[in-house]
Amino acid sequence: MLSFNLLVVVALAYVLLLFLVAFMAERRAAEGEDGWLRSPMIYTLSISIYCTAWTFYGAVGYAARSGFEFVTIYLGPTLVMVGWWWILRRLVRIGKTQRITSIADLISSRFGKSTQLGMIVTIMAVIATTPYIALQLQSVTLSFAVFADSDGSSWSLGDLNATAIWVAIGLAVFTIVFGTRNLDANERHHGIVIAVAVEAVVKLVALLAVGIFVVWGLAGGPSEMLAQIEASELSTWNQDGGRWITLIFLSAAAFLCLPRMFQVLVVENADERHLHVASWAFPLYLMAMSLFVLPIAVVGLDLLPESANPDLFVLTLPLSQGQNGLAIFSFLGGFSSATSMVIVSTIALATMVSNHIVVPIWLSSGGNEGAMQSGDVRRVIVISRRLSIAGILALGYLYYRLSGGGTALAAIGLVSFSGAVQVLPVMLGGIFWRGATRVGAALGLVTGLIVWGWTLFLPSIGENAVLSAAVLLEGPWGIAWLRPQALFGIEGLDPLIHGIFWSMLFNSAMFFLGSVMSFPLPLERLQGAQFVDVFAHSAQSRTWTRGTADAEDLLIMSQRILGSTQAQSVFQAAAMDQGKEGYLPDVTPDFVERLERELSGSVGAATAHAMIGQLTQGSNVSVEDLIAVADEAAQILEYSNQLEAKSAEQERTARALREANAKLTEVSEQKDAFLSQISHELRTPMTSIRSFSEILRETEIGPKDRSKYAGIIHNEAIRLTRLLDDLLDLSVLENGQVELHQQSGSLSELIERAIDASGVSKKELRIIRVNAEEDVPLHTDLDRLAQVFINLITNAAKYCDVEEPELRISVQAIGGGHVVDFVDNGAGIPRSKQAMIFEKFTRVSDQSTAGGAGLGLAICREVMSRLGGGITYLPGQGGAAFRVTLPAPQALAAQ
Amino acid sequence: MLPILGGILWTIPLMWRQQGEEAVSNATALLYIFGVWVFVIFCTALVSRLIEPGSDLIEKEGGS
Repeated sequence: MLSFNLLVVVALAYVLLLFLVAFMAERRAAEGEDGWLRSPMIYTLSISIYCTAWTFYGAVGYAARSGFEFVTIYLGPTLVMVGWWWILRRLVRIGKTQRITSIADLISSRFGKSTQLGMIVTIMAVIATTPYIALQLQSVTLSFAVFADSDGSSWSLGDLNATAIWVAIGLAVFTIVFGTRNLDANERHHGIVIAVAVEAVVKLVALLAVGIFVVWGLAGGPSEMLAQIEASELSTWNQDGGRWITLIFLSAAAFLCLPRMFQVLVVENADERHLHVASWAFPLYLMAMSLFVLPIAVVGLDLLPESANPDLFVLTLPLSQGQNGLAIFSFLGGFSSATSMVIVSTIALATMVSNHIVVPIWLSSGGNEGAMQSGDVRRVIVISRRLSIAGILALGYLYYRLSGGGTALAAIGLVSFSGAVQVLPVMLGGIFWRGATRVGAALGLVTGLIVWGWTLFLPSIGENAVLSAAVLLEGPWGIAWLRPQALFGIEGLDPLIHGIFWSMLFNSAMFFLGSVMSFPLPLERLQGAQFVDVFAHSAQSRTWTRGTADAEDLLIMSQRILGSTQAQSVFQAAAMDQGKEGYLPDVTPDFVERLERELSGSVGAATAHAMIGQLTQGSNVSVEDLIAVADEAAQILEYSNQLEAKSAEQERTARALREANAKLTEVSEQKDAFLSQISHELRTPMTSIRSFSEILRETEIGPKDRSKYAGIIHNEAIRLTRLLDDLLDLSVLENGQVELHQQSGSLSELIERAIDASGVSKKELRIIRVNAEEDVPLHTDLDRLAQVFINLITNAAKYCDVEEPELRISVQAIGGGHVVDFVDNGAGIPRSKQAMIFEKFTRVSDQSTAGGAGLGLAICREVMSRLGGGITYLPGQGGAAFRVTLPAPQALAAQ
Repeated sequence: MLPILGGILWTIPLMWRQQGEEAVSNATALLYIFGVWVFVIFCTALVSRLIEPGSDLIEKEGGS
């Protein structure tokens, strides 16, 4: 017989392979070669997480118990996919334009970015998914037990529980490693998607292999198979119409509403056109999955002893025939279906929990007022996601222990489905009906949740676990019409139909009544119009009209959420679109809108909206926007959008021109100012040299005074020379006549040298070095680079205007190159001056005492551009901050 | 239209006789259900292929 240890080795090897595949995919995606990751086939395969272990093992058991009913679970999704034009296309488009991260985000975003709705949906999703995760743990555990049995050792309950806990821990590790790596825009997880796709292929091929073995190997061919079905106890068609239709509806609805399905269908969708392929390829996949279910069930009932669990026929049938290889393969198929479902579910739920529960609570509990460091919100989110993944799996394990692991797989699955489906009325109402309001949505959801919990969820945990048998039979406190499985005294219904019927009825009714009787907020109307007419105005309408926020404040906030590198690149790109250089774009409504979408890709719409709202203050929806919502205005809006698109280009050009003009004017003013300044600078030493030399020539003076006057003349001459040197240096650099002396050295030594050479004492300026990445080899003109560093250090010493000046020098690797940031703790440079500081003759302060002529930074900029690097002012760092971009290696090679 | 057509075709089996001599056998049901399935998949593939080139043009008639 098959060794149990061999099975464990195979399973571990398989898990290792998945890790490897996921890791490679992440690597490829990081390198930008993700073309094949975005193919429609991968998308279709990832949707197949719909087929869980329930499908793999449970469908056969289902078929063995109730004949054809199992097929309804696949017919529903088939109908949804076939009708993709109506619902799915709309959902995907909305998901793209609004940067939706989860189903809770969809609902919260539709109803005025409401935090409470997001919380309700999240809680519902967690409760509804828990049994499902328990189910997957149970199926993997049972399948291990089958092999242990065949190995001769019979398993006790303790062994089963231990297996379940190890499986849960393994899944948590995998999900945390690949699922919380990045919370980038749109929440795509390449590693996970590709691993899921691989598992999809494995489970399909495994089930087909078992099916082919059964039909051709055991039954002797298709026609014999059909004959055997005729002869079996499942021979006649006797299907209850109510269950048939209810189950098709249920599975179709669940296909749209399950958090994990929403994740793969909408969030991980890379291209709307993939739906074209998936619309027929996924039904094909489903059909292939269910093709051999009935034959396996019939043959299993025929060949295996009556005591055998039909849920495990897929495993026990090949085992009983001595086909160990096939059995292992089929085990891997079941293992795949369980793990892929759990991984995607936990990611989807963890995203929801962190974005809709943890972050809002953290923000309102004052986390926002503490130290404002870049990336701190991000850290909270990542930690909360990791904890939620572990927490959700722990909940699943708890449910598994509570339910005793005895219930048939399909029954648990259906309870979980019907819980997820409670979101359906609100979701469909949200995308098709403008009149839906948040009050209605909240009422509907809560009512649905309560009725479902009472009629289906609590009874499913098992008799006497939560509800006692007496409550089931006689109702709570003896109130008969509240009996969980016969509300209002209507008896004789199938419990499932009963629960779905009442919960959906109350849910929809409350949703409708609540919506009709309440009045939507302006933002709700706006979002409602955008969701319902997503194809009509795909262009974003504006929710922010008055830009009262300062770009620098927005940058500081974005850095907290996205981390500094990504936030800076977003701002830089926006500035570039507006035709500006640097990191601070104009705060136009368009820009704020774009920023909000960018942030909501990471933290969800509600949080992003709230955080930006804190900064922009005041009303964000104007009367014009509300008019735009009205139908009559939609056409005008469309027309004006076109006009706007045309004028946007002109506006950009105009803005660039205006800016250039302003710069020119200012440069010319500065130049005039400088000319008078430079003549002043030149004249002062000249005057003193002249007058002292006259004194020396004409008067009789003592030797002591003589040497004093000669000293003054000498010093003034040096000052003049230095000024002229600077001017000469700059003009040489600008004309490109400079010669570079290439040398090799290390960055950390160079910084050391610059600090020594700057002659700044510890008392004048405390220099803090962040040594982490300073070990960078350099090949460039080190003297010139040192000159730049020295200049920045002495500048900080001169201009930093606090009691205890500090300068932080940190080196980072960004985008393949390295940058050195010089950040001091002073007041920084006012916005109005930031554009000018690198121009010649510019001084920020008017203190001529500082002694410079305003050439230092201009020289720095010229030096860096000659070296192939750059220097920019970095706003939003708390003080004056300069970023020196080191020359890239290839730029060096070219020189 | 396809989901409605599929939905109708898949509810037909409910009207079959369920008891007695003339009850429809599950083997026939198997062939029928999977037959409809293949038909629906084929139609969807066809429709998707047709829509592909100019999705936005067809948008206007999308409701039909």
